[in-house]
Amino acid sequence: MPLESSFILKYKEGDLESFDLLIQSLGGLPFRSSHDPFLAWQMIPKLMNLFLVIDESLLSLKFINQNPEGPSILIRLALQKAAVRNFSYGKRGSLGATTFIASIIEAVDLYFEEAKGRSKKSAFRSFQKSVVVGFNLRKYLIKYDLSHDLENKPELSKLSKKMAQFKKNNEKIFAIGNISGFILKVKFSCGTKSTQKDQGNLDHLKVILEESKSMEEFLKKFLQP
Amino acid sequence: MKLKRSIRLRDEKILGHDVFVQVDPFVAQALVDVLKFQKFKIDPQAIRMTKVFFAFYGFGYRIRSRKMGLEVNGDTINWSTVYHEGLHNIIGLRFGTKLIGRPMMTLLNECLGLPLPLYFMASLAQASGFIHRNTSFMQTIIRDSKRLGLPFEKNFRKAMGDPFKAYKGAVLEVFSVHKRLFDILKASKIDGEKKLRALTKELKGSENVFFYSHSTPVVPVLFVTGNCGMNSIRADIRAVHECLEILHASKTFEDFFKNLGVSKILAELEKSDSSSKKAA
Repeated sequence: MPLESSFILKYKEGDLESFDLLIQSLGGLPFRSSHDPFLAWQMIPKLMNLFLVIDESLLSLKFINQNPEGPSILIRLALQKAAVRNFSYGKRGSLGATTFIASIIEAVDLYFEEAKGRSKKSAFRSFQKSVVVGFNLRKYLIKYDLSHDLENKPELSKLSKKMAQFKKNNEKIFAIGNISGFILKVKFSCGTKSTQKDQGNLDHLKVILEESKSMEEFLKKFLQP
Repeated sequence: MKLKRSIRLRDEKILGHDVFVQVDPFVAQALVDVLKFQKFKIDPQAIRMTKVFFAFYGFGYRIRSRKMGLEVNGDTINWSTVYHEGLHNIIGLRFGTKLIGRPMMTLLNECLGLPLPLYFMASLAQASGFIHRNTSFMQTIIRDSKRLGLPFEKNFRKAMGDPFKAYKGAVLEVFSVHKRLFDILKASKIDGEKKLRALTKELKGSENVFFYSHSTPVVPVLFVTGNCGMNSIRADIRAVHECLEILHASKTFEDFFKNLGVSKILAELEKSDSSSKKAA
């Protein structure tokens, strides 16, 4: 078993079937890196946030096993690879689907954490809510970012009220993920427009999230080519 | 005291400024004055934003918003936030604040601000003959030096010997790291691994990394790719060269500011500030 990190237990204890589905979708652990990137990640802990889509050639097994965030990186990688293949994640013109998927990716870690302490179904319901709130929050911030010239005064009063509202709806959504990093990355990778195909992808994603009754069911639909 | 409405930035509202202004009067006061003359305010809405959404400041350095809210306690604001913002403004006023086509100058501006706490804490230690370990900055770098297995005592004492030399070294190093991260993003999948390997090698040989490891160099790089574009116009390269030449040629921070023309920048700002006061 190449994956031997103790950090992985949290995920396995939360929902073993869903975790296995994600790892299987990677088709093994295809890390090609001939060097050890661990030092760079250790010195700049947020280095992973640089990428909207993690480049697997930058990963090594040692890095995954020794890093407390290793399992989370693997899950992200699995979701991102499927999202690139199925929903044009991170591609120009895919602003809608990419934003929705980013909210999924950020909420998945929380799901495994919550599934450990209560029923998988109730953790999944909480996951569904988190994705919707996270998506609306990101959508609002992207709109805010695009509609303000960086050198002009931001409408702070409106924004801070709106942020307080989001926080009231779902406190945890602010504690997870790198929202500001995402807003910057998505502009760079996807541009500011959403194509018709992207609208279709976004609608489809919303439907599969809403109709699924468990994480396993959702992942089967999300990961299938 | 909880702030109900915006208040103009004043010396007495800046926590720690009374100490650092004695350590390096010209530099510390210039960093504050550049904001005061531009009517910067401590703003309750900006404070609220940082409380509900801390990352807000990561996704946009709105230089001209002139509202400060980060690290505010009651109606006082921390010196390091003010000095950092002050330096961005001095560099912006000297070399321009346009973003499009100027990724390198925008990155350099951030990198000039990041090691400021190192300069001031080393200067304070030099002046007092005592390392003030209990401040949040010092606690952070002591923790990071342990995490990275680097000798804090040896490196900080070296910085105490010549704080500006240490500042310069850290600026150049952190700028190089930012440029490498920018290159990794620019190269995308073409040779990301090669570039990451080069970054690892550089970090391995670094003496200063624990001075800035906490500063998440990823965010400025993302900001630049999202707002400045990937390619530099000629003026961008020219400005970076000029700024780095001035930095290299300076022996002290005061020297650096004088060579940048800070006195002239401040005199012009003061003039326009007092004429607007008269008009009011």
